[in-house]
Amino acid sequence: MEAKEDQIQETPEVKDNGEGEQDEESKKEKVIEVTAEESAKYYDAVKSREEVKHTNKDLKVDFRQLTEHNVGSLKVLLDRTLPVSYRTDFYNKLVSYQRYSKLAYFKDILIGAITCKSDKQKIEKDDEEKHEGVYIMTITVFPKYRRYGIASKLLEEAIKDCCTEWEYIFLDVQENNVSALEFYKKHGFEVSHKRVDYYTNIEPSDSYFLYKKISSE
Amino acid sequence: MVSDSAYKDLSKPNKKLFKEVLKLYDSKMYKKAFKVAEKITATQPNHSETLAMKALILNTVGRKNEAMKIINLAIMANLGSYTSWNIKGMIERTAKNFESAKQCFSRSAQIENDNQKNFKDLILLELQERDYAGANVSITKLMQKQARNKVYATLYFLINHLNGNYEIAEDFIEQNRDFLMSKMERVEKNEFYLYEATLYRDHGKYDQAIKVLNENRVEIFDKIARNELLAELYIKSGKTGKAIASYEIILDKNPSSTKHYYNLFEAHGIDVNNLDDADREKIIEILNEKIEKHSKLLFLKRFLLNFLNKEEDFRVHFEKYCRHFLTKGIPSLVNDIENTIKTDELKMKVVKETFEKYLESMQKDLTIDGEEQDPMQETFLLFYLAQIRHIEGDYINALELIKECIEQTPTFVEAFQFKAKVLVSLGCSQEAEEAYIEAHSLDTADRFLNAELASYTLKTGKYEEANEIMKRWSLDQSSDKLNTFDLQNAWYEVESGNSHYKYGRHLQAYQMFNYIQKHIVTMHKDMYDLHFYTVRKFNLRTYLNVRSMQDNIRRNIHIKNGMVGYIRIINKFYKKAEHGTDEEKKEFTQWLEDEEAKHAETEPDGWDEYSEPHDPLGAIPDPTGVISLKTIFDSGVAKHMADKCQEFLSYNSNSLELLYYSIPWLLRAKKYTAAISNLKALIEKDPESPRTIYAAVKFRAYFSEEVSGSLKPKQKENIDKAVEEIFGAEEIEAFLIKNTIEKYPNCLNAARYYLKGLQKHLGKVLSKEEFGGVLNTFTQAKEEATLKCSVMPQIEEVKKLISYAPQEAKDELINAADEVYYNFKATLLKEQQE
Repeated sequence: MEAKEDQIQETPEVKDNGEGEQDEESKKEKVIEVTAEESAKYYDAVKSREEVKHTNKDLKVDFRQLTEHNVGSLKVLLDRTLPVSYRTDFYNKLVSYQRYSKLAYFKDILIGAITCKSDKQKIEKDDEEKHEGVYIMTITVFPKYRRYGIASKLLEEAIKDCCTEWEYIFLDVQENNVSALEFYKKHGFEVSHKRVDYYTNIEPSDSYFLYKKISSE
Repeated sequence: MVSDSAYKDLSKPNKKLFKEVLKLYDSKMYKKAFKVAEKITATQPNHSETLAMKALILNTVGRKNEAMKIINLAIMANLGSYTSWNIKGMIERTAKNFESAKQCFSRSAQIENDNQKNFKDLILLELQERDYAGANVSITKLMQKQARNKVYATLYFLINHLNGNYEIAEDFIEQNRDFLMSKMERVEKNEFYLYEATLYRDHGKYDQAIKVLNENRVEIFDKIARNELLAELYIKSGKTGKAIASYEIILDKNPSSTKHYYNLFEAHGIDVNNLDDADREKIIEILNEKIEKHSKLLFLKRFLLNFLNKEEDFRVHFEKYCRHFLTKGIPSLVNDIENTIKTDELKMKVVKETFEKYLESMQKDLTIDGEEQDPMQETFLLFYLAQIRHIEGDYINALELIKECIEQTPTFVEAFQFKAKVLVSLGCSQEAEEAYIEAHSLDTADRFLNAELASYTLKTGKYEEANEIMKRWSLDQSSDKLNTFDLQNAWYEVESGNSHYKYGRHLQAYQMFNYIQKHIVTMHKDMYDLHFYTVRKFNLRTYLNVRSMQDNIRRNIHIKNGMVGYIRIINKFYKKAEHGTDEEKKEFTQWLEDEEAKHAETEPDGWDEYSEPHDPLGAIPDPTGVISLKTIFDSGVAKHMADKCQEFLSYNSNSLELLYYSIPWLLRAKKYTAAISNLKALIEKDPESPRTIYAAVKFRAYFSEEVSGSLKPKQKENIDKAVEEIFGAEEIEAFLIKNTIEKYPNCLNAARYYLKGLQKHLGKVLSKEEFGGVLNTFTQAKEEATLKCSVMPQIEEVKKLISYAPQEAKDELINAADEVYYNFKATLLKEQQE
């Protein structure tokens, strides 16, 4: 058995307490100058620990779409694994963008999920135009089923589905969430910049904005 | 319908008018027809046939009550009128009073015995009422008129078969084979030969039946049916070798039929109810062979578990079996084998040890037998083990385990379902409902979860919410309210009725149980259309099967439970009507009258042809049941209930509830012999239960001096004999004490029946102190409950007990009980609330 600290902490990327989109103006005000170089430096320096040991066991999960009938299971998953509790309208919205969310079932039981939405974001802070892409809102797995590569599978599945339509996939990671940064680095994400006071209800409130080009062209 | 004799007594102008009535009736001009008929009755008010026509017209436009009154006048006017009896038959038939309709047609057939239509109507009704002797006479009449009619011919041998005249049916088929089989389709031939074999089988001529099946093997293309019949016949005629061969063929096609395995064992000369070691070995050998052949079939592996009685064999086999469930993640493991292990200590022990061994190993290093396993197996092991604890009656540990299981995998639906079950066992129906709501929220599309949720919701008395859930299955989506009657769902009606009963909504409870009684009648009525249809389409065996299903509908578990509920609720009303204070009695009668007035049916008053409305809500006659309730009470509730009890008992002679509840009604209806025999049956089947003792006490106490005085000597003798047999020389009170509280000092149920007997039938009331002693039982049981919950009494039970306490002590006792109960519940559920 590997020591516990070697487990990937697939901590979720929490954004603005469930409100899918944030007011543009207020967002602008909050972003304080932190240079892209500084961010990149930090991201590079994310301690590249030993390769996380997965167990030999491969869990054969199947992926399902989110529907109004299984959204209750997703709610249980997010409630149990994330530090915030989402409001009902968050789940209603998720169901309406169901196509971008993937639920991982093992033996017919939900054990993990990725939820996304289509979005427009500036990849570099100075970009004049926003890029269309898919924004990852949450990705999480029950503690019991971590270390089996389920999160990677979920991410790959989401990318596989989105890459025909979208150019980018992006997300925010809480500044101190080293294992998550590491996870995305491993999957080829790049850091763009730091967003200061991005989160409203949790500490630390700064986030790193990560992105990956996924379009298959 | 109208014979020539109808004109006999009419004056000349009236003859003309009568003809006009018939003409107008045929061209559906009902209003005019009625007016013309009135002209006749103005001069000849007692002309039977004209009155009958008036009744027929009124019946056709839906004025059934008026029609019924006039037709009775018509009959009285001339008891020998063919036309009037025939029309009365038709009117009774539209009201679906098949028995009376049959009698009417039978009367008209006696008056004029050459009317084919009348006989056809009659046969149909005789088949409907299972009067095969009558049908036999009628069909013979018809055959004399028209021997070359295939439908008549088919009915002829079928009716003779059903009437037990096998010889006649067989001879008839033999002599008319060419005629019967002329122009027969392939499907019909197949059916015909299979039917013929069935006929010979029912007659006990097995060899003859086998001969039919073998000689026509090419024509009979339903091979499974043929082989099943053959195998059965071989066994009956003692040709076991051939029976084995037939069962082997059947089992190859359908290797998961328990019934056929048992038949196969029987063919091997094994008495499955009494197995010795050699038998077991033989069975194990047979099953192992089959398992090899159908290696993927789980059923066979599970079936084998029933016959392994050596610890090591069972363990090896079970471990293999269990591992499969674990790897695949199949939640039903324990449910599937529950019946096998529940009564077998050894198997129970092995199963428990296996789970515990695996769980320990999984918790240590995620392995079983040295191999790494997926982490979900631990969740499943906790789930299985919790179920085992529950079977053992160790509810507290079951709850602990299932909580741990949910903690690990909080989206495991079955775990929540099971948690609800444990909570119900612990007497916490509120919490159980909450757990079930959680289970349901995980998968709202699952039919089973929806239905179960409805049942849990009912347990907490929220019938409106339950109706809302069940509405998904209703055909009638337009209305806001669930139309339970239209749903025709017996289990739901039973649950719903019990819920209303528990929460004191007696009329609603009665409504639900009454619906079930109505369904039985509806099903019987619906069968009416089937008799000729199946004969015309030549589905003879199907007809026999449907007929027997129909006849056995009262054996259905939900229908039977519905009957138990029906008796209990009528008991409640009876108590008010007979034993209540004068005020209560008056109130009850007034209530029935008011309700009846509220729900009285109105008849249509137009002159258009009337047909039953298709709107399902409109189709419920007497939706609340009050009218039928009033009829029952007006026309002698005791006889009605005694008959109903006996009717159900004739199908469910092993039902303890029905036996128990039937006795008081039989006594009230003065059917003493039946009451004695039911009491004896109850004592024989359930001798240890305090309820049985109570039933005996109640029986003996019923014959007070006043009642005894009115008995005939023979009756008195029988009753005295029965009392002596049951009580011996013992006094009634001593008997009650000895068999309840003395025998089961820590049992609430025994205490309850003791108090009930004492108070209700021996006219004694315990003092507060004495009662406190009995109630200690409760506290004591409660203390034990924290160790092992199988003795945990439910608060409702305790409150029932307290209802026998002296008035001034009741509140105090209820408070004390509540306190003990809620303290216990708080400790039990503390963790959950955190």
